[in-house]
Amino acid sequence: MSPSLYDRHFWVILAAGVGLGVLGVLLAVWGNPQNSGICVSCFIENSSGALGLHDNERMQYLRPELIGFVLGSIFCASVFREFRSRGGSAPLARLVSGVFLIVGSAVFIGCPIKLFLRLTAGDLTAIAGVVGLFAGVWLGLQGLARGIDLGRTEDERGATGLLVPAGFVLLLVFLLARPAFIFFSERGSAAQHAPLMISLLVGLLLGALAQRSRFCITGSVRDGLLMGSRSPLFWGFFAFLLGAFGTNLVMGRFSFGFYGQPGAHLEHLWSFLGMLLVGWLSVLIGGCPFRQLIKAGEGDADAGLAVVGMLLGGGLVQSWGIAATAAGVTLAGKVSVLVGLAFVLGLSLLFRDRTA
Amino acid sequence: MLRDRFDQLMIASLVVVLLFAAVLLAGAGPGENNRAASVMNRQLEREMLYQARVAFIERHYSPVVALRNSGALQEALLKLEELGRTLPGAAHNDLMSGDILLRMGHFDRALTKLAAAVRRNADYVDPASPLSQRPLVESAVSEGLPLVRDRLRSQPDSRSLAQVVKDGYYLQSRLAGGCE
Repeated sequence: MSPSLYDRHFWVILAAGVGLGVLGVLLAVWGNPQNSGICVSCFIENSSGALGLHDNERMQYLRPELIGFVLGSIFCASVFREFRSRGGSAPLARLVSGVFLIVGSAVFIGCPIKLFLRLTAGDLTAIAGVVGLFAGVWLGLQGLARGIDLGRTEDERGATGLLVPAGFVLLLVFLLARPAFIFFSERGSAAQHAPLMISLLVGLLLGALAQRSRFCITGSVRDGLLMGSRSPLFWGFFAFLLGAFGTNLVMGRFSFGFYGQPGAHLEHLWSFLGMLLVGWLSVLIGGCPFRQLIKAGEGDADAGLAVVGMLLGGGLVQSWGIAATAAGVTLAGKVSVLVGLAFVLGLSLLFRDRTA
Repeated sequence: MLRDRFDQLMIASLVVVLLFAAVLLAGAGPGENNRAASVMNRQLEREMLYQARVAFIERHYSPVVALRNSGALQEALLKLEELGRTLPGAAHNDLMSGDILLRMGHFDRALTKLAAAVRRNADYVDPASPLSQRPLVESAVSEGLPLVRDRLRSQPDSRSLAQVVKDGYYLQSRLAGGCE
């Protein structure tokens, strides 16, 4: 049975999917790097660099979209009385998971959103990543079905859920005031960005829509695998693909092929493994990098820790040469993905409830 | 909360601390904050270092550029080899070699050299950089890659040609942009 067309939530999900697809392409038209209109992992690496967590002069910019995602989410959650400080579910495991979400994404060159933005722009090298993401989500589901559970999230006293959004308000102040200790690239992909106010407004809009709809890429893949077309998120995902594909075609950004694609490499095995890691981890911690930001805005301190881990990861992948480039995947990148997979396997062993 | 003495004390202290921080921030000049000043210096030093590097490269390779512009391509290559001994591994050496080899019609070697240069220094394909050589790389890819691909079709077992084609695709990908 398909979702009811009279269900308002279904339309909110469709709006979130279309918005993410269309605006994800348009942000690149307006100045963001090609095929990277929205890429949470690239933006995290840029923001880590801006905060001085790595010194790659070409990757330093406080991306307003990230700030918008979190602040749009907290605004919407507060208006609809859904903001709730909560946490306490394997916080350190989630922090480390955040690091490895960025490791996997950096080896593929892009988060799950960018994976599909690349694919809908005709980049066939993304196919290996798509297969990896689906395989990772499937493995994660197998684990959940066999009792892997990071523990219950409890309501927390003291409004700890406000800490990460407050941190992002501070980042907004830094972005607007541009103090000396925040770095802004003048060359490289971080120097390519859409106008600040447009990026911020798009971020706020998508953050609010994603909070209302609970839309995320790995969540859609998960629900699609579990429920097929009965899942509203499946249709949101379909709307996202259609929106991105249509906008790429209309804007003349569609370039079909394996070779000469922007921000892509030809090491398909590592694209597959990088996205496998991201998909698997995302299922275990309840969402892809984008969803972690949205949940952090809703007061989820566990997701907030994953976001902190992602920022740390953004620094590490650049400082340690883990991030892949068009030239290919470095040895450090390959080893890091394998360490990440070892980490997920460890989580799967240590957090399994065998009594069920 | 406001009736409890301890809470009142905490709130008053919070207000005082925040006001104190605001006054410090408002009154601080650029020289008063050593940390901020040192960071600012770091950014300035970084920019100066970059400008110095650009100037050094231009000065160091000016004899090669002069020879190249006068059409003495073979001599320019010899001069580059000589410079390569004093400055081994310099990305600009590869770039200049690629430029000259392209002019000589050695597309395969030009693509290899240009790919090596861009791998070491992405500024060569960055339009925002003073070192940008995008038109050179674009012409190497548009003219050279189809020719080398055709040669590879006729010699499918040639590993060296396959590597050159891979280098060409790499350059094509860098020219297309995207995240790094």
